[in-house]
Amino acid sequence: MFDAVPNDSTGYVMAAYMFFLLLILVYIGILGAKFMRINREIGELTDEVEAGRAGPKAPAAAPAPEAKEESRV
Amino acid sequence: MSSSRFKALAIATVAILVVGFGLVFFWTPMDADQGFKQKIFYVHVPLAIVALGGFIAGGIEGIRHLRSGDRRHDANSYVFIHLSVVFGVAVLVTGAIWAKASWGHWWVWEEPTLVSFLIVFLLYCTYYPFRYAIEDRDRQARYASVFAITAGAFVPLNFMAVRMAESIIHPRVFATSEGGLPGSMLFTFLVCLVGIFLLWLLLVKVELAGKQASGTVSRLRRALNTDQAGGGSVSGRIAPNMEAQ
Repeated sequence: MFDAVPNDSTGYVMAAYMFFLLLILVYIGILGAKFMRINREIGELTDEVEAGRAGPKAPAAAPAPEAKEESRV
Repeated sequence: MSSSRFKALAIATVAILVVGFGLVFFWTPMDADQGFKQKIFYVHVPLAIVALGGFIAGGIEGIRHLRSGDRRHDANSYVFIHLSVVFGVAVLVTGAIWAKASWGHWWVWEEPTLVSFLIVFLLYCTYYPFRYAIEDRDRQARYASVFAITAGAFVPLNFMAVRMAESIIHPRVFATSEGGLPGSMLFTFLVCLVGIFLLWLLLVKVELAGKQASGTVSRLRRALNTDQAGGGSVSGRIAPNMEAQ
């Protein structure tokens, strides 16, 4: 059972620590992707709200294209 | 959690982990029996302790959810278990690497500690399909809490049973007849344990912040759809996202 024990264990120790670091990095990457998706959804909602606000006012007093561009900035 | 406290937690986590791993490789003496491969102990055992503690904490949050009906406790329970499963993967892989280095085998089925951890890990892997199989959000949260409590109670019982059984080869380092860990090794171990616990806590906070933000987005979308079309939309998400009830 113990006949295949390796003599040099440096590679194993490094592999264990590197796996731990890699796992954490991948997890942080997944979290980052999730926050980017939420950020995109917030952007879409903001656009929808702005479009909704601009819609009803349009027949009464449509804003000039330049003014609309400024308000988005 | 305020952003300044969050930043402080992140800095403390990185600093303690760097100090801990620095101590492991540059200060802690080499183990007389195992030599350099014993260094895996400082990442493997803290990960196992934090993962198992997280499973138990998930059960406690399940109890709080059932008692109060507050959806936040269900979200906490979900995130605690989720992070502990991720840490469990690291425990199994680092443990397999240590086993290969020490015993010459990636896995030893005769060793009760290894097998009991695998059983606990696989038990918690069933949490996701169990949870996602239920569509009704309230029932889903209640059933998931019951699962978290039952499995959380199983964790210490399982390990007590293993401790009572005769161990074959898994080391017992904290309370042995030879006196346990020397002071310098114990100190390094405790620093690593604190660092890995802070890492778990930091990731829990980030996950919960994500769930809160995603819940707010869903609420806004529903409110917007109600305003525009006179009806609400049903969120397709099944995992808890801390929406107001």
